Amino acid sequence: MKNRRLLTPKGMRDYLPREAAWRRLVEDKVHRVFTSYGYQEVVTPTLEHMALFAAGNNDDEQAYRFVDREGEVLALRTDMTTPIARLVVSRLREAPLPLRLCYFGNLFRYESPQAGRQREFTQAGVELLGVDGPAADAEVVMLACRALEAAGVQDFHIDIGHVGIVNRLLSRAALLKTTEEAIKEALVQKDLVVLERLVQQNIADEGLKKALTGLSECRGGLVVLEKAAELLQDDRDPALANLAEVYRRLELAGLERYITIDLGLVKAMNYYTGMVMEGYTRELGYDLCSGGRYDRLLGEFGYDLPATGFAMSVDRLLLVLERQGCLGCQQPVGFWVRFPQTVQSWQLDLVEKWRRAGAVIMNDLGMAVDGPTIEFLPSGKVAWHSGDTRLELDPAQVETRLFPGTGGV
Amino acid sequence: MRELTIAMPKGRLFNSVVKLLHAAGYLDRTLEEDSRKLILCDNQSGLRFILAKPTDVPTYVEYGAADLGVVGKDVLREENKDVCELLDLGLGYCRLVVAVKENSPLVDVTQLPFNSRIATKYPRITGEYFLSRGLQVDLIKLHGSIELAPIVGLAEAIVDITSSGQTLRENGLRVLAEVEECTARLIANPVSYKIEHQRISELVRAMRRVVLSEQGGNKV
Repeated sequence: MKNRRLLTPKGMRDYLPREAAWRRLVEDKVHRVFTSYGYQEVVTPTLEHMALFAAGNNDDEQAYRFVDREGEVLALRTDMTTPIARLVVSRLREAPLPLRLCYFGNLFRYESPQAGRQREFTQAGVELLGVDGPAADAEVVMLACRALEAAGVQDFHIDIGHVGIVNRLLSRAALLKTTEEAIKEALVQKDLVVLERLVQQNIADEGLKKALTGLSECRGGLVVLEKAAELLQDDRDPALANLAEVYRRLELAGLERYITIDLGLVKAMNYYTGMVMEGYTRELGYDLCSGGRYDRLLGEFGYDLPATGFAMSVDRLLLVLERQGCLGCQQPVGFWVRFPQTVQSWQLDLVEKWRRAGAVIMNDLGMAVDGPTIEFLPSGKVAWHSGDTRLELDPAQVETRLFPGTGGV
Repeated sequence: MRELTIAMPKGRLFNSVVKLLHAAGYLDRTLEEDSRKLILCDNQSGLRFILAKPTDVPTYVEYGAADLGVVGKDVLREENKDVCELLDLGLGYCRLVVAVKENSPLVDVTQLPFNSRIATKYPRITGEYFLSRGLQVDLIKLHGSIELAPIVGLAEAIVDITSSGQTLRENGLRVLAEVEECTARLIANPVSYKIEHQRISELVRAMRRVVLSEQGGNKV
């Protein structure tokens, strides 16, 4: 195709000025929340060794791979958690714990673009390293709530679950590895038809059958945990105790209106070891943020450290805000400035002073422009014109008359 | 209360599903399928039906434009969308089969000649089927009248759905192998399934009761 060079590659997109401004605004709000909890931003390379992602149990089929000039196989990063685990293991072993890190980065996955999936997308997220236990799990969920609130998302929901529950049921069933994987896959996909078939064919124990097929019905508040204790036939299950404590802490923080306990929440990523979470809104048919505890990942790289975290998709966040009509853009109105042929340094200084005070001022560079314009006249005065209105002012008056909001320098 | 939107395939499946919903106590009148109308509302049950092309049903549901959908397993597997599969409705039974010309000497798919051309509406399922048997084939995607392909020499075999096998016979074809059995499924958008969990669960339970009692009835 002749004009192919004008198209963006499949699954990749441009952000035009308006969208890019929104994105920066939303990222700033989220960043402020992360840093207010003491999460420090880190930046990792866009390219990593392919071997890193293979070790991180990621689906490496989705990676864009390259062979560099030394013959090394590199990949565009497919997630942020694995590179951050690498960074912590290789460079921050001496850092005092708990370690709180956050990131904003673009990721690449080679997938067929469909609902909410682009091949390049941006994630904002946090990792809380070096602490086990429900207090850390609760902090991560709380942070997700606060970040979504700060971004201006209305009416979002966050589900929390625990991989320990499904794993315990499955280990009790003592199944073949392949059957176990198939049941897990059916739970992840919420394919209840296949789930029921597999459970009926492979499990004899009635209680266990009921528990596995009933998991997706276990949704709600604390009551769900009682029901789960019945299904598990154990009211001291550590996973349930962990969830109860996480929920209690979120309740104390006044966040329970966002939270649903969902024992059927099973994630595709294999690296999760404890509490898992997923956030969504009605406006979007797929999740907005996602995360959980992954206590073994860093150990695989040689530094045994418990860890938990979450990531949200910035692109999806913007989509939700737009659909909710909440993308208020506080872009300041810009003014044009027209300098005389022989511009003088006091004029440049004055305009610079207004800019520093917060005004947006663009040099018209001698072109005919539309919109409010400040013109330096040969008389030493300043003319302000906008449409049919024309005003002559003393340069010293301009700031108070035209930019009252900026509050002076 | 917000309506629950169900994407339905136009055609014969529509009436069966309406009957099923009626038996489940969700519709107290029969909705007429009017080919010009694309949206049908039933205020009493709070259900809204959108009528779509069967292959588009999973797309409506994946994006959340419909909370629920009814679609054949054949289409669901072919489209491969991110949706929850809640219930096998037992309706619209058909088989996805590999078919060849009646006079073909083949008795097994492994005997298909190297690089056989296979015409189908289901390239994904067909590709997976032959790949899992270690067979290399050329897939030819067609959009209809698949039976024509072997007759005019476009393909050595086809993969298509059949219920009674009559269309195949009429076109001088016969079944060589079965790929899978298909029935209609109730699917849900993953987020709708969470947000409207209670209402959707109730609907699924009511529909399941009808499906089970009908299956019980058929066996007798």
